[in-house]
Amino acid sequence: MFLHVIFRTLQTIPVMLAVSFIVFIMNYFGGGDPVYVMLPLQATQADIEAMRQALGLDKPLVVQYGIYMTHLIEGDMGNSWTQGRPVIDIILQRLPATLELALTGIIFSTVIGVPLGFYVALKPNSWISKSSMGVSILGMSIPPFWLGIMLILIFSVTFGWLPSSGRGETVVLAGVHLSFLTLDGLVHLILPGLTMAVFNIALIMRLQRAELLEQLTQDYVKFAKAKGVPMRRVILRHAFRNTLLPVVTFISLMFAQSLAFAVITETIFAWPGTGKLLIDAIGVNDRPVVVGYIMLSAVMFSLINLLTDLTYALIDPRVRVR
Amino acid sequence: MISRLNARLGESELWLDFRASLSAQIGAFIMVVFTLGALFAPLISPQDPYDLTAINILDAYQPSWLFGEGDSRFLLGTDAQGRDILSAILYGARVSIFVGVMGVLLAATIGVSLGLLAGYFGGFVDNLIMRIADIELSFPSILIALFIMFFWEPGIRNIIVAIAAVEWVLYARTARASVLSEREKDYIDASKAIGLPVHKILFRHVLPNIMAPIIVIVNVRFAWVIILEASLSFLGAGVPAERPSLGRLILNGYEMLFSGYWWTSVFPGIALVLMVFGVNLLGDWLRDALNPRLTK
Amino acid sequence: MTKAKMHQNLLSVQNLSVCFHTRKNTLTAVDDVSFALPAGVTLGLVGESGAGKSTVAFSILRLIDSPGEIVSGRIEFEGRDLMALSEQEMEGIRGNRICMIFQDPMVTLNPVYRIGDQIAEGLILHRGSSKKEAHERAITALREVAMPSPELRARAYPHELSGGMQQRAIIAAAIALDPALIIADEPTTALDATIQAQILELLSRLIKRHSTSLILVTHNLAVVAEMADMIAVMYAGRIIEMGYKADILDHPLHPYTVGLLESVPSMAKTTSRIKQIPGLMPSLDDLPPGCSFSPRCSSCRTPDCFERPPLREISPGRWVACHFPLT
Repeated sequence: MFLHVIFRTLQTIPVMLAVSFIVFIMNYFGGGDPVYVMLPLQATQADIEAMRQALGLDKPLVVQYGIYMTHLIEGDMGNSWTQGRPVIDIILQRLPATLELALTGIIFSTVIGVPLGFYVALKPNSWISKSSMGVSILGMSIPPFWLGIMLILIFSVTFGWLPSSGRGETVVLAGVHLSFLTLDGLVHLILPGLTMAVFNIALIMRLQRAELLEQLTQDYVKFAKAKGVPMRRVILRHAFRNTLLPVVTFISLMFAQSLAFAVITETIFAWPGTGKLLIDAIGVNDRPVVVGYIMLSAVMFSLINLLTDLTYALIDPRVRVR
Repeated sequence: MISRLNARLGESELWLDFRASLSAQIGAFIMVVFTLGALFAPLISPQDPYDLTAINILDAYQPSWLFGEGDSRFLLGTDAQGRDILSAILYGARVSIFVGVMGVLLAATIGVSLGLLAGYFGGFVDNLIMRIADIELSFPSILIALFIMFFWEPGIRNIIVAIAAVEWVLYARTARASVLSEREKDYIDASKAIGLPVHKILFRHVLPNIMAPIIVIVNVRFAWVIILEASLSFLGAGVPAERPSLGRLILNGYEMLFSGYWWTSVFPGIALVLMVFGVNLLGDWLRDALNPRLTK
Repeated sequence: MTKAKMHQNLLSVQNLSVCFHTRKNTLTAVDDVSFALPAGVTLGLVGESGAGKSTVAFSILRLIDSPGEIVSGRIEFEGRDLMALSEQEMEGIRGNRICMIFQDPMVTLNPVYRIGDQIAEGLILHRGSSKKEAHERAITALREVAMPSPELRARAYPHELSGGMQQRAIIAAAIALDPALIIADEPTTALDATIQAQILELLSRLIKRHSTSLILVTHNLAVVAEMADMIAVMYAGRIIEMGYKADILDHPLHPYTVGLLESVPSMAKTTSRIKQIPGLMPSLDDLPPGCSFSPRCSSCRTPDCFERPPLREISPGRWVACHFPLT
């Protein structure tokens, strides 16, 4: 098992290398000259040359790649062209907000979607089930960004019940700002959290239902029944347990997706997370921030994939053989 | 005409299944309505919203006529420049559908081709393609598309390519899996023995077998691609402002939301949701209709 | 006079009929089947695939799920009519007084739980044993089925065992609670030929030791010839012949049984062709009227066969459903 962990961790390295290389190439050949972004309009040719030298942009490609990689390993991704501070500091500072948002979305989705999927699988003819299945297709059809706008329109603009932007009050815990520990913060989490969750509720519900129905046709379920195991236990301990693998895989995929979709939600709700940071940086062409975001995303997603794989091994004994 | 169509298709089990499913019919109906609306947009919309001579800034901010006030010329109201929202939706749907269809087709073509190659030749080719696929899959697609658009300029052609770059993996995997299972079968050896060239084997034998799952995937992903393009456009990284898609329209509307001009983002959104809903309804039915024949 | 009548019957199935509801129509999978099983006796239920043998087996435990339905019948077991019991009472009998062994052990065992846990589950449920007691009993059961290193294997997961060992584990689960009746549905079909013999021999030893009754469902005549005391032959949902093994195998009365026996390849005979019964068993939605075998029957083509022949006891313990049984 331990070897499994080591092996999987090592497998992420080539991925990171590949991503860093691709990013570097895109950066190098991408449009937009940083020098022009950073210098005021009246800059003279001499100033431009000086800046270029200072940034190391006059050196050959290979050398630039070398410098880039050395800095990267130290965690130095340069400074933001607009803020002047180290990119990595900026991103890490905004990360907790995004994590909070993503987790809220996941919690909403799982807590509503899994039991609902369960119920629909077991009682397909009740009106709750029929309407849930119909509504779920609708849920899968609503683009999250529009949902966010509609929620703001209804709950903020029209009724004024819920706030439409920002995080609200935060509490500092171990140097990190957290908003879910305050009532105001929680209230601010509701609309953005729902925006992130609705699409996924539909998906999880349908997945859980399909998986449960599939498992109930399996022979081991017949065997359990033939042993006199009561139906309730057959469903919960035998069938449901076997749906965990695909459902948990999906939830972790959802988490990764949520971190990405936070980009949209944060834009709409002016949520001070990494997503909004990215969009703002794109807007002003602050390339180090964008590049830094890409690299950190690669790290995060590799980590999430790794954790998912390890959870696999925990849940399904067949995977552990290696 | 319907009855003649009925008579010819009447034998087909798929058609009978379709006729039995109300939701599939509703889905197909919605898709047909939107496709026709988008195709004939220049003919049926009351105004060409991108013809600068047709719009009048004094008409700006008109609320929807359907809801009481406003001008009868503007059924769904106007935006900040005086453009008729209904017309904008028709033209916007055009762009959304076009990008969606082209994006999915390009992704499917590239994906299936790469998958067939990877599965058939195996070895280095297979490894290379699958490694790239794995790396790509470890990233959420919206971010990849966003980054591609960041390093490139906005534009319809670019966004189609970006979508294809993100979507091809699923098709490749499916095609590859099919090839791998078909490869074991004897008729492949027989075909090789009589000297049939590789591409003919792939096209004539393997391809028809994977058509059904590919169709289902195309339908399901089409819905997603529409949402993807709309989301990218909403972020300003999609289609350019001159030829807005529904996503871009919603962005324009969002900016006016807090001033109380809700119709500019609500109606394009409803159109978008309806369109995707139709695609999903049909896709849901298609998945069930085509699958039992394959697996069971 | 016969051995059967000397003991009280453990199981008595009377007029069992099971239907399956499809979109188009309703099919009769089991048509008015009756038989009796004394204690300590092994009944071989033979027939082709689709003849209804497994359905009969599952019906005894009332494990028929929609779209199937047990339409009629009485199933007397240990003095109670199983059809009249509540689901809860039935759960008390399953895995306790009547245990079942399935065909493919790999898919029968739950892949995410250990072998020992799956055996112990029944003990905890039916005997109220503690986890510790149940596990010890499970290990004892594994030892009884000749599982090598039972303590180690009890902690193993199904995929870690070979097919033969998996089936032993399932048999262990079946005998752990010392049931009165075991129903085995094609227990060796999914196993290698060499393992098949071992498993059958094991099963035979166990039921002798515990005086357990066994219903052995199989399409394999060789298996039945080895293990059964009585044989019932099924065709298209009906029992067409039943009796003691020696009688059936040496003096078959129904043309189908004759054909079945003749089609078994034998080392003794030196024929160049294997005999086959011409035609196919009819599918359930296309049953011929009257005697379901008549279209393939070489010994009768008379109009009498348009009437369904009832299963008659032509001599004590000997039943056949044919208008013109061979003598």
